[in-house]
Amino acid sequence: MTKTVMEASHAISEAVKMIKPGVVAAYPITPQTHIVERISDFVADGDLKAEYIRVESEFGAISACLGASATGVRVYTSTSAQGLALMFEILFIVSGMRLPVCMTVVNRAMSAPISIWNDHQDSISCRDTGWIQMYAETAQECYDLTLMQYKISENKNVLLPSMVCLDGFTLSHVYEPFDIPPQKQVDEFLPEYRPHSAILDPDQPMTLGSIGFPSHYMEIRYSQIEAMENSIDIIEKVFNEFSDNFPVQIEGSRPERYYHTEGYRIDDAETVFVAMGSVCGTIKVAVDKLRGEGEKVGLLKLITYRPFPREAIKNALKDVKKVAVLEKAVSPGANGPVFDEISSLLYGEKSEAEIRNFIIGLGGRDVRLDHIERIYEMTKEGKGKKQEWMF
Amino acid sequence: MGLPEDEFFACGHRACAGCGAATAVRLITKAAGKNSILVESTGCIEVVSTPYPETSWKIPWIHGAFENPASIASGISAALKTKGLEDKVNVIALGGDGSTYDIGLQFISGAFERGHDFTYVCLSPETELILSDGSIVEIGELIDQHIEKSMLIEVIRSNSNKLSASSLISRLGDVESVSMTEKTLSWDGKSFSPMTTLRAQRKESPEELIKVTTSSGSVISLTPEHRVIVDSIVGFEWKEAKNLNPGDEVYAPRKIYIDVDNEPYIIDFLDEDINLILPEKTKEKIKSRLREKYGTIKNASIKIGFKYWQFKGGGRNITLSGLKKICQDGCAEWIELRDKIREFSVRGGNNIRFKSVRFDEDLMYLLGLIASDGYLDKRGSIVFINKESQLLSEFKERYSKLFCGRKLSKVDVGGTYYVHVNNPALYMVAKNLKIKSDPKEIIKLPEPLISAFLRGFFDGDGHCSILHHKHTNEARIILTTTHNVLAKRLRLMLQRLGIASFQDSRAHRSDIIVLSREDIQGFIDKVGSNHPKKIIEMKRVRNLFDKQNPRGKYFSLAPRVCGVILREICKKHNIPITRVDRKRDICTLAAGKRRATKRRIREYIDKLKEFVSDDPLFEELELLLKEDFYLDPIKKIERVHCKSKYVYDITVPETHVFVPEGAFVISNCYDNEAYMNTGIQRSGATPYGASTTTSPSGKLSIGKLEWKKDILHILAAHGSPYVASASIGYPIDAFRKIRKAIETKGPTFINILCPCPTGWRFSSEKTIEIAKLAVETGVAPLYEIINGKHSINRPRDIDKLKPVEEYLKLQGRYKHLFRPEKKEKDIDFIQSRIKENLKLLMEMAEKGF
Amino acid sequence: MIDFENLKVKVGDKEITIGAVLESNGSTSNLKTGAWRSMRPVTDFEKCTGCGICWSLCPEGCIKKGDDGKFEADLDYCKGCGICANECPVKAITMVMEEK
Repeated sequence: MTKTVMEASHAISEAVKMIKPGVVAAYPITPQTHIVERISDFVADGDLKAEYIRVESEFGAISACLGASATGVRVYTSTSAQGLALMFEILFIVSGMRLPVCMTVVNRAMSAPISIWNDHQDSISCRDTGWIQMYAETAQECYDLTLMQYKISENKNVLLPSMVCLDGFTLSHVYEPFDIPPQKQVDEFLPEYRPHSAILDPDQPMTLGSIGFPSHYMEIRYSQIEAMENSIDIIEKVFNEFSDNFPVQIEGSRPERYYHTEGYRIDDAETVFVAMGSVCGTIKVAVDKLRGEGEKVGLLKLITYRPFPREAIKNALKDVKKVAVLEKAVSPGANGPVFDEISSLLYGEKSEAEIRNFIIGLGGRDVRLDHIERIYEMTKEGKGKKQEWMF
Repeated sequence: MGLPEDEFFACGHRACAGCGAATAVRLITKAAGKNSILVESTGCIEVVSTPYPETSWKIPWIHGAFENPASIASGISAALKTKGLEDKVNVIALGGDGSTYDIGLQFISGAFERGHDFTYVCLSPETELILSDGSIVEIGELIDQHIEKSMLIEVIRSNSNKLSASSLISRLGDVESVSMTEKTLSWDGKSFSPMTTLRAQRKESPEELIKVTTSSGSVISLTPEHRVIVDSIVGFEWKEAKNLNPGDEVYAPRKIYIDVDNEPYIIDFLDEDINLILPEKTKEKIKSRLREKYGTIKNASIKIGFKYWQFKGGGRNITLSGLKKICQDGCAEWIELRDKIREFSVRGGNNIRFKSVRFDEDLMYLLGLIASDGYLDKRGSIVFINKESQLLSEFKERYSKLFCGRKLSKVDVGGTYYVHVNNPALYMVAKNLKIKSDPKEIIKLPEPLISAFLRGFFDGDGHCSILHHKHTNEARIILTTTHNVLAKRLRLMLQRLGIASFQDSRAHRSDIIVLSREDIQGFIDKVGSNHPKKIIEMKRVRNLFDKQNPRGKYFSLAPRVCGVILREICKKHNIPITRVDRKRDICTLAAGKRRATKRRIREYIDKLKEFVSDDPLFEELELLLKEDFYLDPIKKIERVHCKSKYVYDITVPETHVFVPEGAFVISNCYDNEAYMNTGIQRSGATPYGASTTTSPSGKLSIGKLEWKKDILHILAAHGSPYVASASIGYPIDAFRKIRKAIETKGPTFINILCPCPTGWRFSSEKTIEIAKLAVETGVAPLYEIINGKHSINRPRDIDKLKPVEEYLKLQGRYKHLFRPEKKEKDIDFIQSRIKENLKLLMEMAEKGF
Repeated sequence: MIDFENLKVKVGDKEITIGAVLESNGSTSNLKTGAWRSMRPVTDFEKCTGCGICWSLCPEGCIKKGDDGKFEADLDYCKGCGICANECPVKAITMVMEEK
């Protein structure tokens, strides 16, 4: 148990060091660089005994991770925005091959216009690739989710790659206190990697990546998607196991017990904000302020985004009258993706809640308390468009 | 055909009939072997080989995407490294035209830039090399010296501890490599000769070595992957040491060649403190030069470091060490002097005068007698003991010839004669030549002198006898010693004379035995004897050889492939086998069920020549029947723990492979040219790139205005140690190159031309023909770039190039060049560009680039 | 070691493997591509010297060595491309039309 104050990116580097991957293949891109620079320091000093491949592009990074994971070792990579877009083709392939590759995405806006600042467009646009997605709010959550993602991906009933997302600059470059558990405890939680999907081994030769004729493709895809659906229970189990073994050390740094969602003062809330990532910190402060003024308001933070935690969201929002979905991404010609997914979920439940979509903080635009207050006002009074942009 | 038989790419795949790429994949997987992982790009092969739920692969195989096999391969090799398997598993990335030249070039570039560890095949340090001047050195010592010396030079040059890229010595991974100028015995597939070594390598030794003992007594310890030539029905094949079995026949040289330029002098074997008796004139000349330079002799003696009274005269004489120092100082010429000095004295005793300054037959014979039946006693005299009075007279006669005026004393004890010789100079020579323990310097002498020594030894401790068996008699010649190393040297001496023998070592005895008829005949002719009884025995053996056809097959068996060639000649010229060989033994020979001696094969050839005057196959047979090598069956294979820190290896130029200890032929680190057939699984390092050009974006599509991308030079510029172009029209060459690429440490690249009947539009049976034509017309020349230096394989003669039209007109994709009318201009442009490119390649190769 | 059985999954009526992986057991040998051909190689064994050139160049790898050291194509797989006939140094192989 070591309490320390570090950048959230370094918290992730610490987590990776303790997870002991066999191969790390990464290409630098702002704002992910701090993570991989720290990791390469570890490797250079011998604190992490891994093969660090200095690849020539993100495409090379994810391909090398594919190859290494197929050979039966734990891998790690990390990227942002344009890098993630360059990996796009291979993301599908890694998931289709059921290889437990684990990645950190430091959320950054997509070009054009070029921007190095934070929004969620990059990872949200990869929601169909078949990767598990989780979003972190604090440095402690970054550390914890990185540990957990390996356990989830490597589970033999999941075998799907995963990405833990954190906001670039607003979280990655922010110093926060967090707690590092002892190595022994980490080893117990995450024992040595044992591959369950196929591996490349001359003693047991296998063919990976065959062609899928129309006669078989759909069934193979079905089994992959079924695994994604089933993973929701396994993610919950891992959350529970983690919460049991790793109690909270620093108050407010993470939920008491991890779950797909975190409800903040939503028990009797009439209006609920829904959001992901570090903006939730700001929203929590706003909620406290509004509560102080007597408003019945709460926050539903999504930790798991893929698979979409339908039950958790349904249960949280079932008695709520107004829902404001705050998002840092938008699908041009449609709405914010989280908004559309929650709408379709609640529609199916024949809910009568009023749901509104607020697009915030694109390209690193600062999201402040007064933004949240205005959002609350508009929601309460039913003012403004269905999809409102908070500039 | 010399390729391994295991298939890793099963039938039933969906490739077009006549697909060139399928043939290439078979070759590649055979070269890589079972312990490989293949990374495929999207393309024909990937599609045809994995029709889910069936697969054609029998090795681990992964397909990622179109452009990234190189990156995936990087990840795999890194993972193997963490598992400690990087030396045991080959990783090969395969791509087509597009994935290699275009979309995938970025990833190949990255993978090549990163590079990886090296694999080497090596020998244990005590393995001896026979250098071209006859000296025998331990490979470990020699290379260590070179490395130390080179490091010193490098440090002085660069004034730092870092090694620059152009060092004499380079360190790659954990292998240190240094260039050497020594020459050592090597074999180019046709004959043995002393060749220049290129580079020597030293690397940390593995846990285990394989110790190979052959029937003739050669013992060599190799790393398990080191390859050795063994005889097989298809010619000779390379087998890894770890896969050798007792009974496998290795190729051993019957004769060792050295450059006898620097014949040693007697004075080279005298002790440094011996006194030299210089002729007066010579002495005066030296004295005057000393005075010229230093004023007085006393001064000279202080400055140079010899005892000045040595020149004073009056019975006192300059010592050998003193004279050498004077020569070093420049006041005398050693080369001149050693031709003049043959009189010596020791501690004020009488002067000893040799008949000549060099070794001669009498002296060698004497030394041979002393080596066998004599000894050097502690008080400084030589003792010779024998019962045979004739030998005694020989000894006395020779001795007086060599040292006229000196006496020897003789004592007769109950029929055994003891001869005492008080001759300190001769004593020194015998001692320093180590004639009783390790006379390796004798190997450097010319053949007649070696014969004389052996004759002496044989007369003392040798036997010539005939053993009577039921149906036949067998002759043998034996030299007996008690000393293992002495026996080894005697065997080497016999090898200098072109006589094969085998060493039979037991607890207290080491015998050298000559068994085969040719070798015994050789011994009788070249060595002979002066011992009356032994002369009679030799005569009897001669008579025996004249009378009967000895059955003995020792060391005279012909390589197995001779039978196959004989049969082929018969078939080719429609000669019924019974005309040549009534018993049809040729058929059983060709099937590998029987063996024949070289003599027997020659008999068949003579018979055949009555019917066939000329055929190139006869030439091939002649090579195989050459007496300068013999087949030596392996007696014992053991796994031994490697005790030393390093193992060593050397490289001789391109077409040669070297022969350690004159024992048998093993592979270089860098393998090469045609004759070499193949072996079995190989462990390599990572990563690799191998490319097949199958897709119809093609080599020369005249629709395009750009010439083909020069991928080989692009990747050579990345510093790849080995890139090569190959063609399935020359499968053995392609196989060899793939093997070499796998063996070479670092990222390597092979571009294999695979014609595609569907895409290039030609009839499916012409695939191989077109692949050959591509090379013969210069469209796809076969060449290698080895560590940045070009080596052109084919075509060799730019004037004998087939016209490119022959290649173009066979393919449908060029038909627009011929119909409706022939586009002479375009065809000429192609032809001239091809010639230009080829000329450039050849120039680069010639000039050493 | 991977337990391959654990990788098998049934979806509806179809049995598939997760990630579409397969054991590298050369199972395409269950697919008899011999039905593709229209010409068939015929070997004159008197002429055949057992040199193995046809075996090494066959794109299918379906030419097998007999006990007598001579080579013959396995007609279950031979696609009739004709490379063996074209390349045989002693012209021991001829291509004939398939009947029916």
